[in-house]
Formats: sequence, C-alpha cells, structure tokens
Amino acid sequence: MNYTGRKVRGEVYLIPAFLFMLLIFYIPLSGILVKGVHSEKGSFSLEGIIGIIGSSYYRKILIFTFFQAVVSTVFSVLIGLPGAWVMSHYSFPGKKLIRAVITIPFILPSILVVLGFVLFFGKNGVLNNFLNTLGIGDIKILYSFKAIIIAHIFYNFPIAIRIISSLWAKIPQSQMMAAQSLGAGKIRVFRTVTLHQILPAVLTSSMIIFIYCFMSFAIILVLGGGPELTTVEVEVYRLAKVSLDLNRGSSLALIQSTLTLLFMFIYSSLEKYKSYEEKLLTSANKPKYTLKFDLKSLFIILYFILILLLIVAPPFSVVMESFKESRSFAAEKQFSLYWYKQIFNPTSNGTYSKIAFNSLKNSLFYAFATVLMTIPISTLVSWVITRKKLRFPAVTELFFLLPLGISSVILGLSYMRLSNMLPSTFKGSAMLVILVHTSISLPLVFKPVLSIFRKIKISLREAALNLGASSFRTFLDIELPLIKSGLLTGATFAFAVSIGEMNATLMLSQPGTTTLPIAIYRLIGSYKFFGACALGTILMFICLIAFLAIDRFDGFGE
Amino acid sequence: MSINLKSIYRKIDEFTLQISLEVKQGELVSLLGPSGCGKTTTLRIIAGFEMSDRGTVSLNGRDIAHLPPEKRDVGMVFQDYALFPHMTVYENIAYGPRLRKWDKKRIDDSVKRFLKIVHLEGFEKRKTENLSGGEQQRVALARALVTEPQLLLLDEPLSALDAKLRKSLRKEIRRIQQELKITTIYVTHDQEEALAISDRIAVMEGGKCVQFDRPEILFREPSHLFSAGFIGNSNLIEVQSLNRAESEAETAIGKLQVGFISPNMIGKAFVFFRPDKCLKTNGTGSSNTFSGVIVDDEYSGTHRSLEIKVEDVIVKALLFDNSTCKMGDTIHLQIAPEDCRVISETTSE
Repeated sequence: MNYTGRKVRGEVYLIPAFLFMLLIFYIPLSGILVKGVHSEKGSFSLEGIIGIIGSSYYRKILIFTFFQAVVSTVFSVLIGLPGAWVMSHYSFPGKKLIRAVITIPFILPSILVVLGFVLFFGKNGVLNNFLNTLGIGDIKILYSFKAIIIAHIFYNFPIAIRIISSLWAKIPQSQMMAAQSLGAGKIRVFRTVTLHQILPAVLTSSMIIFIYCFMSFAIILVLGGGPELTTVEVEVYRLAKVSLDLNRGSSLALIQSTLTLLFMFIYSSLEKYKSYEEKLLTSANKPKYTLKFDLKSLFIILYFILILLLIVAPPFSVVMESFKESRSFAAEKQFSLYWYKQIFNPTSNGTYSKIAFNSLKNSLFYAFATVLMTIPISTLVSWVITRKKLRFPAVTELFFLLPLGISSVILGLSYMRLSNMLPSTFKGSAMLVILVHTSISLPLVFKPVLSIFRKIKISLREAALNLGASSFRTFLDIELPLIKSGLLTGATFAFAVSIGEMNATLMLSQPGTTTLPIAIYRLIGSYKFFGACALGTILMFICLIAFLAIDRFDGFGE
Repeated sequence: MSINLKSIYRKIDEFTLQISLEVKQGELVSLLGPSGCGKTTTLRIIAGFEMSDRGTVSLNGRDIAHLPPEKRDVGMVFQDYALFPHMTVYENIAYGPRLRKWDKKRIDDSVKRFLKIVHLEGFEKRKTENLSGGEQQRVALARALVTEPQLLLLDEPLSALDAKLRKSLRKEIRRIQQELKITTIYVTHDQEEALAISDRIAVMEGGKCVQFDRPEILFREPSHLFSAGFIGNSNLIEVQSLNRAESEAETAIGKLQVGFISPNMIGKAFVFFRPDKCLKTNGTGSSNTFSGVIVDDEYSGTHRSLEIKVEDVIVKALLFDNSTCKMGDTIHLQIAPEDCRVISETTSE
C-alpha cells in the first residue's frame, strides 16, 4: 500500500555500524573471554577460573579491589555532601570559580593525577618541603593505601558534588518549610524529607564512583605498590605484560568483566530514579549567602579552601616543575624552558626530545583519527534509533554502549592477543591503537549524540518532509544543524578520551606507538620528573582546551 | 481540489481505524472527537506519515497512497507548530519555496505576501523561539500555505493557546481559508471550535466516523447518541417503550411526543432534546410537560442553567435570566415534540 522507501527496516541501516562494532569490540573481546574458559590444550575448562577463585593470592587481590573501592566511595561521597549542600543552596561570589575548579578532575588523565601526586606528596614534594620549613617533619603518603584513597577522592568527590547538588537544588524549599511548620526540627527535616529526596542521587553517584575505583588502573599501578596494594586491573596487566601468562590473564579478565558488567547493570537500574528526579521541579533562585562570623561560615570557608587546595595543588605542582631544571644531581633547581625547547625542537639529539615529540605527534594523530571514526558511527546509530522502527531498540542501544562496562585494560589485553594472531606488520601498528581508542570512546560519543537526537521533535522532521524535502535533505537542512552541538561535544569527548588514554595503549604499546600518557609513565618510572612534567603540562593544556570546548558546546548538560 | 478517503483501514495494536470521507473543493471539514478516536491518525495517513493497511487516498481522483510525504504537495500545520528553531521566520517560510527552486524574487514576494496574510509583516528576521504562541502559530500557517498546496491539514493547531487567543485565531484561519479557497481538514477535540469554523464536521469515535454533517444539523439533529452527547449540552432520557406509529416514547419523566425516531436503532434508545428548548409553563396539563424540583442552579449572566429532578432523572434546562425560581422550587417544563428525537447507542448501516 505504501511507497517502498518506508519498507526498509531500521536494522538494515545499522548493518555497517553493527559490523564495525563486532570488528573493533566484540570479536577481540570474545577471544579473551573464550580463552578464559579453555585449558592450555584448547578444550573447554573452568580450570582457570576455579584456579583463581581457589587461590588465596587472587582472593586477596579481589578483596582488596572491593575494599579500596568501597573506602574511596564512602569518603568521596562524604566529602562531596557538604559541597553539594552549599552549591545547591546558596549563591555567593566565587561560586562559578569553584564550579570550574571542581571540574578539573574530570578532564585530567589519570597519569597526570599520579604525576601531580608524586610531586605534591612525595618525599621531596611540595607538601613535605613546606612541613619541613615549619619544622614538623616529613609525612609519608606515597606508595601506600592512603595515597590510593586520596587520589581516588581527588578524582571522585566532584562527581558526588555534581550529581547530588543538581538533585538537591530541585527540591522545593516549600517542602522543608511545610515540614518545619508541622513541627519538625532541622535534623528531623533532613532525616525525614531531604534525605529521602537526595537518596537517588547519593546512590547513583556512589555506584558510579565505586565502578571508577573498581576499574582504576594508573593510580594503583604507580601509587600503590607491592602485592598488598594490587587490584584486579593491575594484576591483569602484570600477568599479560610481565609474566606473559595470557591464559591466566584471560581468566582473571573474565571474572573482572563479569563483575563490572554486573555493577553497570546495578547502576543503570538505579538510573530509573531519574524520572523521580524530573518530577521535582526547579525551584526559585537560591538566596544570596552573606558571610557572617559564625561557625557555619567558618566551616564553609574552610571546606572550600581545603578542597580547592586538594584539587589545585597536584596539577599546579606539575606545571611549576615543568619550568625547572637542575644541572647536576646535587644542584639547586632553577627556572628553565629547557624541556619545552627539547620537545619542540625535534632536530636536537637526545632520546627525551625524540620520544617527547613523537609521543605528542602520535597522541594528536590518534585523537583526531578517533574523532573521525566515532562521529559517523554515533550519528548513524543515533539517527536510526530515534527515527526508524527497530524490533529491539533498547538492546540495540545497549549493544553500542556495552564497552562502557569493560575495562580498558581488558580491552587492551584482547587487542594484544589479537595482534599476536595477526601478521607481524600489525604488531605495534597505529591502526590497532586507533581502533582500541575508538571502541573505548564510542559509547561516550554515542551518548551525547543520541541524547541530542532525542531532543529533536519528530514533528520538525515531518514538517520538512511535508514541505517537500527528501529524507537526506531533511537530515542536512534540519537535523544536522540541530545536532551540531551534540556532535561537537561528542567529538571533544572522543578527542579527550583518546589523548588521555593510557591503560589499553600501555597493553599494546610498542616503541612506535608511544603516546603522551605512555611517555609520561615511562619518564616517571625512570625518575625524569622535569621532562614528565613538561609533557604533562602540554597534555593538561590540550585537555583544558577540550574541556572549555565541551563547556561551550554543551555546558556539561547543565 | 477534492479529497477522497475510500474504505481506509488501519490497525495499530488494539486500535482499528475504519473511515471513508469525501471533502469537496474549498470546503473546511473538521475531524472532531475525543483523544484516541483516530482523527490524528487519519490526518497522518493523508499527509503520508502513517500508512493505511487497506483503502485509497485520492486527491482530485489521483491516488496518492503510494507517494512519500515529500511528494504529496499537502500543506500541514502541526500541533506543536514544528518551526525550525535554527531558522528565522523568513527562512522557515521560505524553506518550501527554496526546495522547489523558485527564483529569489518569487520566493521573496511569496514570503512577504503570506506574512501579510497572517499579519506578521516585519517579523522576517525574528528567531522563532522568541515569538509568542499565537505568532508561532501564524508562522506555521504561512509556512504551510506559501507553496500554495492543494490541501491544507491542521492538527489541533490551537490546542496550545489560551482560550481568548484560540477564538481570534480560529477566525483568522477561517478567513484565510476562505480567501485562498483552499480545501482544508481540521483536527480538533473542541466542539465549539469545530461548530464555529467548519463547513462540515466528521464526528469520530473509536476509529469510526459516526456522523458527517453540517454544524447546524449535527447540533439540532444528531443521528447518533455519541454526537448528541459530545456536541453541546443535551438531555438523553432512556426510552422504556416506543410507539413508532404514534411517534410516542414512554420514559421515566412521562410520555413524550417526538418529532423523529431513528429508523435503524440497535441497543438502548434515548429521547434527546437540548436544554435551551425547554420552556417554563404554569403546569396546566398540556402534552409533553413534566414537573420536578430544582436541585442545581447556575447563573451565567444571560441564562440560568438548571438541573431539575423529575422522578429519578435529572433534566437540564437553560432558561432566560428573567425567570424567577430558586433551589428547591417545583418547576413545570414543556418541550415541543419537534425538538425531541429518539436515537440509539449504535445504528445499523
């Protein structure tokens, strides 16, 4: 009855994206998971899995992984709560600055956090130097459980502030007033009214922080140390790269992936509370907070000074250190642009110069290539999901979002195994790095693109068709201009993820494919901190630009 | 341009649409009914956004069911206006002409002409998001009309506006429609709106058109229980026994002489009469009179709306203001036989 163009099922449009996804994610990953349940002779066997669960060594690692994640989560949320309360209840001078500063951790690649921590908390670090001048003496934080927890808090309490304050701000003031007018005291109001309403945000932020900490890699790898402070991620890396035991690595990866997917599932079922969140309408403007000389004000000021110090100090130390040089081992450090000259003058001989310049070049190339790979796929899939009838729309969406639930170390491991099977020319090829970056960043690009497609009313498209535009013309004239901001946000995410990615890249790393994070990691390993800091500052600068871009295009969804 | 829907059949999950409809050149036909009755689906089938499982849609005798929406040359105004947010008012209206590759002068002239028709001269450069609802509605109308399509479809075009604006805009729509003599199908759930602007109204219920007629006929002579109840205020009093030969219906409020008995009734029968046709009498026992106690009295300035309890039935009556009566009074009413019609829940066709 109808014209034939309509009869093409949505699934048909998805075939290229589907195949691409199989190629870059599902096939490599299935290799590893299949290997995890096969014995060395190649027959099906749960030996590997049972061996790991049975071994007290691995049990300890699993327990420690859980434990550090739980501790990090609890502290991050507790430290975030007061911030969420102030940010959602008051407007005051400097609020914008604080909002900007607590965004810094979002954009810092983990290797930079590690570097900043080493410089700030280290034996000769800023903090200890300061304490020494006060005559208090050294405190030892690095390479311990404390260091891991503090780094995780640094990374994650801003997430708690963000998620909780955005919900808290939406609770109408009148509800508290109503409770008070009925005779409830302040604590009772918090316990019986407020807490119930912010609970969804507390739960979702806790879950996402827990997942991040559970999958944390670079922080544990460098700031942890020794078998007592090893997590599953680091152990998978160690098995694959140091012990070269891919079979055991695969079994462990299988256990890890099962757990992370389970956590992701819990997280996404928590997200259903979002509908509840939307019901709470935005209330009127927040009252201006006038500083008084009371305990509350003192608390607020102290709180913000502390968190600002915690956030700003490590990256600031990196930048400061990058402009220093010491001629000999014992000499005083002095101001110098030596490291930057080395990086941008590739003709100078010296390994630092060569590695630094190449890593910068590689990183930029991989990042742009990742953008070019992710944007068309995300656009196509989002278009089909929002515009065409699909038999299983939710499953289709999940199919493209699943890489979120697989750690990048494990993805790196799959690519490593894959590259062993491919002809030797593929080993250490840029293509593999780009593809692994693509599969890691694809869900992060896909999400903003899909969400902006969802915001475009179907009637706009129908109006264009009705006025005589073809489907393609409608896409060009109407949809493309409207999704532009989502595409730019997605592109910037892809760029930022790729340029900061260390875990999978480290698994695949070969001399020819060194990226900025890898170079920084290697320089830290050989105690060349000045050089690491110069590269780190450049990486930070690139991330800062990306962050400003996202903020401009999208305002981080605010 | 005339449009003819012939035995359109469309099944979506539990809902079935079955409709035939013929709209003549220059006519404004409203599809009127509650939400979920199939009026928007019918419109979307005509526009090509929805496919029918069976049946034909023809414009001037030419079957268009096989054409994609962009080839149908049917103008449409969407419920949410669907103005392109990244374009100015001018660009929105010029979008259709530009697709048709008109030359610059012709585009400019037409856009200006239609801006004038919808009273939005000087709005060319405005961003659509800064316009009021009524202004957005006019832009949407101009955009749909500028290419001079042969048929105009309006999908609840006024439902997002406030009552006062709705009244003035529906007049505008009617004026423009008559000026351009464009065949128009207008979807609405507002019976007052439909009565005010339509040449004919198709009353829809449950995926079917139950009555298709001129507004006056629909109002005074509904042939179907649903159209009697949906349009305007009405009294529907269940018939206990019917004497066709004598045109007499026995009801709970007494024996009534009626002017019309539907020839093909199925299910329960009802006597229908409008509250404004009730006359107050002194109660001298002439025919078609009944008495009851006033249980509700609502004053509206020109009228008094009364609810009168006659036996166990509530009868609604609309009396002029000068009638003196109050709650609890006993009142005598008379209804002329020609104002009473016997209709049923469904009819056999």
